[in-house]
This record gives sequence, C-alpha cells and structure tokens, in this order.
Amino acid sequence: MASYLSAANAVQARNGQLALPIHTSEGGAMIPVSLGANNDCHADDIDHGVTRATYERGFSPYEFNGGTTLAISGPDYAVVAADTRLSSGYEILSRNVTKLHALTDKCVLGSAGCKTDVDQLRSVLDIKMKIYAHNHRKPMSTPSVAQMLGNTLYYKRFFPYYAFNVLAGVDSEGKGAVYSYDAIGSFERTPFSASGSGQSFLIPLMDNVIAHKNRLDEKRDLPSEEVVEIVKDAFVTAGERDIYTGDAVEIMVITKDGLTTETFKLKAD
Amino acid sequence: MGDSAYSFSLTTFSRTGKLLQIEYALNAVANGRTSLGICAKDGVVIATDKKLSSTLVDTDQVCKVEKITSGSGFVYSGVGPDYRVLVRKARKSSQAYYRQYAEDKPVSQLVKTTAGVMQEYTQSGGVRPFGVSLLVAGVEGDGTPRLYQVDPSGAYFGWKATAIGKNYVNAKNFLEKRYQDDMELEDAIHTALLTLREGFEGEMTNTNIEVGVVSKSDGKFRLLTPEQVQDYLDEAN
Repeated sequence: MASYLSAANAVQARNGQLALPIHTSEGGAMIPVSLGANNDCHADDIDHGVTRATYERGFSPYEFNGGTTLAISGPDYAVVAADTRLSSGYEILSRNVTKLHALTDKCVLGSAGCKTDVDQLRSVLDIKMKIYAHNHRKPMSTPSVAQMLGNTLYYKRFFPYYAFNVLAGVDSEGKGAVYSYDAIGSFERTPFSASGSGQSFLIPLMDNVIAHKNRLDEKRDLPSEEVVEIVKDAFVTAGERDIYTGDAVEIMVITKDGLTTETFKLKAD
Repeated sequence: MGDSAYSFSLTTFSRTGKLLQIEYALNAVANGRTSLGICAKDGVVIATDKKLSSTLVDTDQVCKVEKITSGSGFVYSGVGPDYRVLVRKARKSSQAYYRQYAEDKPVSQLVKTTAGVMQEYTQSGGVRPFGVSLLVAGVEGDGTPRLYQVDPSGAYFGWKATAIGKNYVNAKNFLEKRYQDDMELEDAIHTALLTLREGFEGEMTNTNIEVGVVSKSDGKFRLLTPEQVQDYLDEAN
C-alpha cells in the first residue's frame, strides 16, 4: 500500500473478518487483518479465493465438479470420451465416476459441470425417452434426442442446468453425429465437440487433427481406431495442464451395430 | 375449471350404460356426406362427396380433405365446423411435435392425439362431443401406409378400407367385395371413385368430389387437382 489512507480504503469485510486483497492472485485472495493490537497473520489464514470464492457471501446453488468431455463423428461411427475425475474446489471426490450416459444404444450423452444438475438432467431425459418408446414402440432417433435435449435445457432458461453437454451417436442413416450444447439449450450438429474444464486444450488440437485446419497434407477419412488413439493423446494433453482432468478417460465408440467402451488410465496428479 | 358454472359433464350414462350424446353424435355423422378411404400396399387414398346445397355455392372454397403434416391428411363426415376445430388442433400439435423431436409427427401418434381430444370433449364440463368421424391417411416412418377412422367417442380403428357418412353400409359392402390385400395405389383410387359413384345422387364430376392421396414412394400427402380427378373419372367411364 502506498499510504495508510489507500490501505484503509482497500480494507474489505470477508466472512465477518476484515481483510486486504492481494492484487497478484487471480481468485481474489485476501489477507485477514485486525485493526487493533493483535495483528498476527499466519500463512494458512490466506484465502486463495478458490475454497471461499467471492460469491459465497450468500448461498450458491451451483458448484463446478470439473471434468472434460470430447466427441468426434466419423462417416459411420461416433467416438465420445470423458475423464472420470470428480472434484470440488482443490479436492478430488472420486477418481472413478462416469460422465457418459447411453440414452439409446445408438446415442450417448457426455456431460461436465455440476454433477447434481447432470444427474437430474439425465433422469429427466430418461423419463422422456421411456414415454416416447412406449408411445412410438421404437427408440428415439439421435436427431430427435438432440432436439429434445435442446428443448429440455431451454425449459430451465431462468434457472439453468449447470451441464455442459456433448451428444454423440449415429443418425438413422448410420452416419456419425455429434451435437454441441451450451447450458441453455443452444445446439448445433458439428464434426466434433469438446466441453468442460479442459475444452480449451482439446479444441485447438481437434481443429488441427480432425478438421485438418492449417495443414498442408491431404485430408483423409480416419478409421475409428485411429480416432480413439487421437482421443487418448488429447486427454493426456489436457490432463497435463488442467487440474480438473485426469485419473482415467472412458472412451465409447458408437456404430449402427452398438456401443463399445474402453477405459484408459491417465496421470493421477 | 372447478369453480365454473359448467363444471359438470353434459355427456352422462343412461341406465342401460350408453352415452347417448355419443350415439347422437354418431347419428350426425351418419347423416353427413359420404367419405371413404382405401389402404393399398404402396399408398392410401381418401375421398369425399362434396355435393353442396345449391349450384350457386363456390365449391373451390370448400375444403374437406385437409393436409395435417406433409405425410398425413384428414377427411370427415358430419358437422363441418367441428371438423375445422380438429384440423386446427391437429396441425398445431404436429408443429409442437416437430419442435420437440425435429421429425414429422407419425400418423399413429397423430391419431392418438386427435382421438384423445375427441374423448376429452365427451368427459369435460360444459362441452358436447364433436359431430364428426375422421378418416386419417398417412405413411409411417418405415414406409407402411395406414388408414384410421376416429369416432366422436374418441375410439379409433385401423382399416384396410372403410366408408363413413350417408350410405356407408352399401359403400362398405362394395369395398369388401373389391378390396385385395396386394392392391396398388392406382387401383385403389379407381375403386374409391367407383365406390363413391355407387351412392352418388346425380352426376359425379371433378368439382363435386375431393380426393387425397399419399404414396409410399415420396411419403407426401397431396390433394388431387380437378384435372387429375377428371383423368381418373374418364378412365372409370
């Protein structure tokens, strides 16, 4: 602080305690102070802004449980993958929780975000799909699931599901289909999609390897086995730099003949 | 709805277990102009008698065969204005379906929803049943052609061929004799016109009937133009 006056202006109240902001940290870290005699401040008093974030004066219904999902479509298959780490703040809650959910045997939903919202969204979708199957005597086609998911998310436009979804499957012609969503139901069919904490590490890599951007060699159709290897490398990459991604990645390959699953271990740090 | 002065149903059971309002609605249908439908192996045809009360009526403005989704259509016998309400509701529900599922509403679902509406009006407060029976023609997602009848009670039936309205008994007998399981759409259209002519009062022309056709090849429901109807009539002569 340049002067006692500016220091006095910078003092804020945090959780019933006076504190000064540390301007170098990202998350609004604070050093607690007491304007009085006993001013002993310890290193473990420092709030890094992660465990006690700035909105927590009230109650927040949302929490980010971490994780990354990725889906890639091919001419007759779709690959969808998600890591299996569940976190809360700086803590890992589980190293083995799935983010993938098969809605039909031709369609899989991968969701990262707030786990309770994801679970509830899945429940709602499962119910709608059962009712459809009862009425129509056949399972829902992937483009219809995509539309229904978009509408379901928009129903909660003013108290959204904190779920970042990626839908992968084969359409009625057997071609691979991937749909990307935002939290309030805006969606689009895309060649690939990544969402969650590691999306920024995956998307540029996919742009180069799958969409073949900024490359001089000829683009070719990739077989599903090669795409699975690319997905493994991609998650290793994301896991290196994203603290919320790691432990293992679950990879599903969807074709008109059904679903196969593989689990690939990642670094546990 | 509970507070309203009309919170009781107007359709109630008689001692013998009948719902007389529905019986009377069926009478209204039986007094309506004849409609019929035939389900061929590669399509469906529905047709109706559009004969009107006076030669001064502009028949172009009268629409009895109506498209509901791109692959399905309705025709009716009975009270015209009641029919229009059902057509509007069916079209709206088909659009809502498209918004939910990005797919055309299948005929079977359309029939279930419409039949559900008609049943509601036999049990809700302050309303009477619809005075129409509908014939619904369409091709399902997997290409199967379908013909359904929906009655004022909300009961629905799938038919290979059927007729409703005035003279339906004779028309159905005629159809029973002529119907074959492997009939083609072209033959079905011929047979439909012949059946219609059987009970027709006066001369049947291309302006006093309406014909709707949906073919398995493109799955699209369309109304035959007067020129097309005339071609079929010429062949039938």
